[in-house]
Amino acid sequence: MKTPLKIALRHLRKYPLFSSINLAGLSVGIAASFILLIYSEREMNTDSQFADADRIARVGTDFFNIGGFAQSQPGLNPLLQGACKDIQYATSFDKDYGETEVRTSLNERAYTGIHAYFIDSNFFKVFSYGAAEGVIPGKGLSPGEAIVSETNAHRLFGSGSPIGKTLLIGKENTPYKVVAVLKEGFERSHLDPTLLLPLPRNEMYDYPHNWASCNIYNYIRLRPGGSFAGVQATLDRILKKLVNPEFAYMHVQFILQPLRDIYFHSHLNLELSPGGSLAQVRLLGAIGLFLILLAIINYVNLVTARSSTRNKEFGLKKTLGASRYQLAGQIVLESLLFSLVAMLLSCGLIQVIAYLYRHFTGDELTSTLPLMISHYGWLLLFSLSVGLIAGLYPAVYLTAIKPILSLRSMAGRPGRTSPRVRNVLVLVQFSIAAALVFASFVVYSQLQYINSKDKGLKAEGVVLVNNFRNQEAFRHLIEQQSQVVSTSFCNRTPAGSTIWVNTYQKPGMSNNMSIQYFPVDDKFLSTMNMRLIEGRNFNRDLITDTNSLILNESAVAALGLFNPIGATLNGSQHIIGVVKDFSYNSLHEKIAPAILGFSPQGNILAIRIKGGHTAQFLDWLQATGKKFMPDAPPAISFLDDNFKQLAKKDKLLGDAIGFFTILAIFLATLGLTGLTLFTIERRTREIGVRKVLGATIPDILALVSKDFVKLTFVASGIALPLSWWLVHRWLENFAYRVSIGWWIFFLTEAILLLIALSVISLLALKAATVNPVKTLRTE
Amino acid sequence: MVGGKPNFILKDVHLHIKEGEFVSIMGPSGSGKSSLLNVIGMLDDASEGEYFFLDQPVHTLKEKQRSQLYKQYIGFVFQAYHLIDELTVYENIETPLIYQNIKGSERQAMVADILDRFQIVGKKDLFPTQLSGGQQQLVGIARALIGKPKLLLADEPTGNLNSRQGEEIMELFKQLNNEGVTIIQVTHSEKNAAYGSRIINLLDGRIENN
Repeated sequence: MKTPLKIALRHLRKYPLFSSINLAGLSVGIAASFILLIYSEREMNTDSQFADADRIARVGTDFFNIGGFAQSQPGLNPLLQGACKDIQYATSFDKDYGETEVRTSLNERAYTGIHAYFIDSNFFKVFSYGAAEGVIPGKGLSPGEAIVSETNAHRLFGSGSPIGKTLLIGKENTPYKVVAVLKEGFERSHLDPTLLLPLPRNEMYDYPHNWASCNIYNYIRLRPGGSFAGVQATLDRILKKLVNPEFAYMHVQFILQPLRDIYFHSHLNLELSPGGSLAQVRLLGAIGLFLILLAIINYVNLVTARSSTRNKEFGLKKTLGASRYQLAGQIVLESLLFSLVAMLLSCGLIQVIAYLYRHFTGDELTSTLPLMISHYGWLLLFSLSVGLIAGLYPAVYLTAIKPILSLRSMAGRPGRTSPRVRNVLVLVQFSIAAALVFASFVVYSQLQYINSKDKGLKAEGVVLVNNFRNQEAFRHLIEQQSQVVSTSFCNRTPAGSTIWVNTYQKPGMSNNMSIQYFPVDDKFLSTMNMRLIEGRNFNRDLITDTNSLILNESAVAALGLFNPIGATLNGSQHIIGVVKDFSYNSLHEKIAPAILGFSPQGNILAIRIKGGHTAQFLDWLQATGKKFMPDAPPAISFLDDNFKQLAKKDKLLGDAIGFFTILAIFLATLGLTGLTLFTIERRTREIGVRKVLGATIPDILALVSKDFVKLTFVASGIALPLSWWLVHRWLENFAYRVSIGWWIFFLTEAILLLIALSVISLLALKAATVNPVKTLRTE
Repeated sequence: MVGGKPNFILKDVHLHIKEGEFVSIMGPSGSGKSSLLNVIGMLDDASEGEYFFLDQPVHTLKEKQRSQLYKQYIGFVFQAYHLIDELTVYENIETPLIYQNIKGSERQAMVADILDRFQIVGKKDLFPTQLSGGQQQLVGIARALIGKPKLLLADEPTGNLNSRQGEEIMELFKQLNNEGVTIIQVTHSEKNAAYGSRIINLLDGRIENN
């Protein structure tokens, strides 16, 4: 055991180039793929950290033909708890839009944007949250008690302990005492509470039989042995006996969702947090496996490529009586040693890669870091498996040599099969590189396409003040600023977080249609740069316009109106204009019908500004906001940011593919470099002979690169159709998609060629310029 | 160069070789025989002095012109044969022609010709490792001659062969010389040297007698 280890260490030192290429490849491979594996594992286990997660479910509602909602009726849970023996606990809670003002003392300005959860007494009986400080009250929060998350505790109270301190909540500055700090673990959850307050008993939530109002999140936890089927049966009964008699003409349905299905599979309105994408997790997990595969192939190729230098050692040992198993053991031990050293390096590299990832993409894929202690155990196990797998083939291949051959002077050359296996492995590497490069280009061009697609409005240059609340005087002042082009009051913006749906009925039509609604003023079209294609805009001087509507093209089509201008909906609402279709949702979906209604007042002020002076204007807005809005600072957002937020998941995928493709190319290049080094070393004599026979340097370059060039073409041939198919399926998620042009295929092959040729040429050039007199010396 | 002091491998070599000569260079190991051959063969540069080849001042020529001259007029034979293991006998012999940009059909004719002349037609599809040392050297010579060089340079061509094989090679050289090929060979063997029309003895980089 000791001697092989010593020999392995000596080899590490004796061939520094070989060792460093191998270690660099293995450690980058281990680090990058481990990050991706941890990411995938964390995503896949979302919400499973809750005790008995499999027994928890949510009840949502599908009603009025406007799609499913994650919320349901406040009266539902008490009913369920009473009527269903399968349910152990039912809990109801609400989450605000971040408008609740939070202060730590009366003199301070308020924090906004903290999404408070208003929880009932069963919340912690369903969800097993832990406390970082204080004690989680098992019976829920008493009036006047609050719980904050670790992040918020730090943000609100600094480094000191927040337990026992007071928070002043809302306009009335109602005092709440902090009783616990919620532990924020490594695990992911679709619940994202950062501030928990007791659910107020008021008419909004205490309205047991209003089945038309879905405004609360209802979760249930089964009894041990209870089944969701039983809950579903109870829900069906409630629907039949209580809901349907009231809403016979409407479609109402309850949606029972097991907790662990919500994150990936639930795409309802008013989700607590944006859901995950299973396709994306699988794709990134696959890239992680590809990366480690690349690293393993590098190792195998490099070890077998320089077998000639070790054949003598193994042959000699065999003649001295070593069995094949002993030699194989030595080789595996060596690769385990390599992988262990690589693992130590990768601990640091994981942080470096995570840093680079954040730096270049600004994404949160690696917010999973730093790793937890238990992850290091997995890292060790992972690295050892990599070492074992990487060592197996060399162990079989290198020890198969006949001792007498290996000792003969001319027999340094490996057998005929080895280069073939090596070529196959290099082919796999090129194929992985080709597939990833191709996919990156397609994803990138799709994201570009979506960004540059005509949205029917101009999102750039629109500043939104989300808590403006009809301050006419302030608005007047803002409009006088030189940078400001126009301002508009509205209650809903495209890509915003609120949803507003009304039902519309065409004359002569028996059933009505639910269509998204935007209450806006007369300056909305000009502020958003929306284009009126027929009719006129709202006029604030016309009293009748409060009953006027402007439709988008899709709404006109959906309602089947041939002459929309002048037509009447719902008996009394007149259509006065039609605007070009504008997008207000993610571009995964087709632009949906939308109707604008006139409302001269609004909570939100949209400001279109001229480019170039944004920062200056924002400073002014914040400073002036203090005077007009003393309670809370203006909550400012940007319309284009809101659109980007909708495409965040896509951007994350694009960034991740791009980033890890570059790493994959690095690994493949590293392997190719090592392999070429040894190929050329083996062929220096041949290169010398050819030079003596009159070969020029370009001749030699062509000779050495010919095989690799062929490999890149074969790799493209294999990988591109496969990659095309996968990316094509991804594109099908989009209502608007870029067409995959031929140039992407050519560019991918060109990049592959460029990488292969530049690596090989650089090395071959060195060999080709060596004087043959030196390489052909007989002595 | 050793220790910063110039250490001449060859010094004050004045040598004139006429077309059609068969010259043997002899001398103990390290006397500079191979270096002299490499300079003559344009594989190496002399640090000082002049070298005229067919009245061309080789020492002033650019790499490209030199390579042109070399490809056209010089063939090289090595002690260790230096055949390319991955290529067959046929392909080994054909290689110089490829680098001289000779057309495929013409190459075929030339290689067939020389295979015939050396009586190795039957071996044309074998790989070098499947041949004996004498056969390999025969292929090496065939390869050196395929471009119809005016000058054949041989660095101990029989060094790795037994005496019978060596004699055959020497007879072949004699015959080639009679056909008009200038030959310069480096050898340790008095017997082989005697095949030449002139013997040059080198000692410590200087010509002893001529």
